Amino acid sequence: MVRPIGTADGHLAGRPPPTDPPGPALLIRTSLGVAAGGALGGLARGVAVAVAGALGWPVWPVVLAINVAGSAAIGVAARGISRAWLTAGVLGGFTTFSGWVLDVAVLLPEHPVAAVALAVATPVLCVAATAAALPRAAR
Amino acid sequence: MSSAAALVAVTLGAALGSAARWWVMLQVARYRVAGGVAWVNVPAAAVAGAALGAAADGWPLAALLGICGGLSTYSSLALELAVAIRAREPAGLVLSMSGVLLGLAAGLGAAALGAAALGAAALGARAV
Repeated sequence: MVRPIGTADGHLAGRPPPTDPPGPALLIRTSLGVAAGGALGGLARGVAVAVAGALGWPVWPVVLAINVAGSAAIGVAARGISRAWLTAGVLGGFTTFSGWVLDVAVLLPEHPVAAVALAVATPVLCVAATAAALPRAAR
Repeated sequence: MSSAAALVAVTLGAALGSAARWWVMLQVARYRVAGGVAWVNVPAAAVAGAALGAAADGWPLAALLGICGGLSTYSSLALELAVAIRAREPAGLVLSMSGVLLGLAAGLGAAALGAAALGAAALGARAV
């Protein structure tokens, strides 16, 4: 079993941050797990965006759906022990803050209203999705 | 560039970016630095915005956007905000929202600066 170590998620979820720095073996193992999870999440996001592009759809609704889904999933993950490869890896690699900013930047020149709507809707929907999925004890 | 090559570049970039984000967040937690995920989201948004503004193309763009997409995160940001709201910590909420606005400003500013510097008429492709 991989001991959950100092993820920001764990700290934010009310668990105390680690006092003992993890050993190098655990650091390397966990970082490789996060990289593998991030590759998986990033690939899933890349495939979703590529499919949208092939179908001629705009990218921003896909990225919005990805971010909301990933935000709901991290709320579910917070019900159990936080696994770095899953939360920091898969979900962190799947969701994207920079992609959201790019979508707003691309929409802004020709569709300013849609750009502002996307800028406001994404954080609101993502926080609502996480809050709805969080365990009752943490509410 | 084939879409398969773009996907490989995005995947490898996301692996690198995610591991880097985990390491940065580990330091943020260990030394109890304020700001949370803004430490990864703001620079990622700035670099991605600059790439967009500079109309980067091909696999370098795909790899760069993979790294930025992996480095940045919305799930941890949403958790940060949701926990601050639930714990009724307005200071934490304001700090996190400041990071969100700073990231938006950094990305939009970098895109505008990149486009202005290269004299590009339009923003680059939003490929991935």
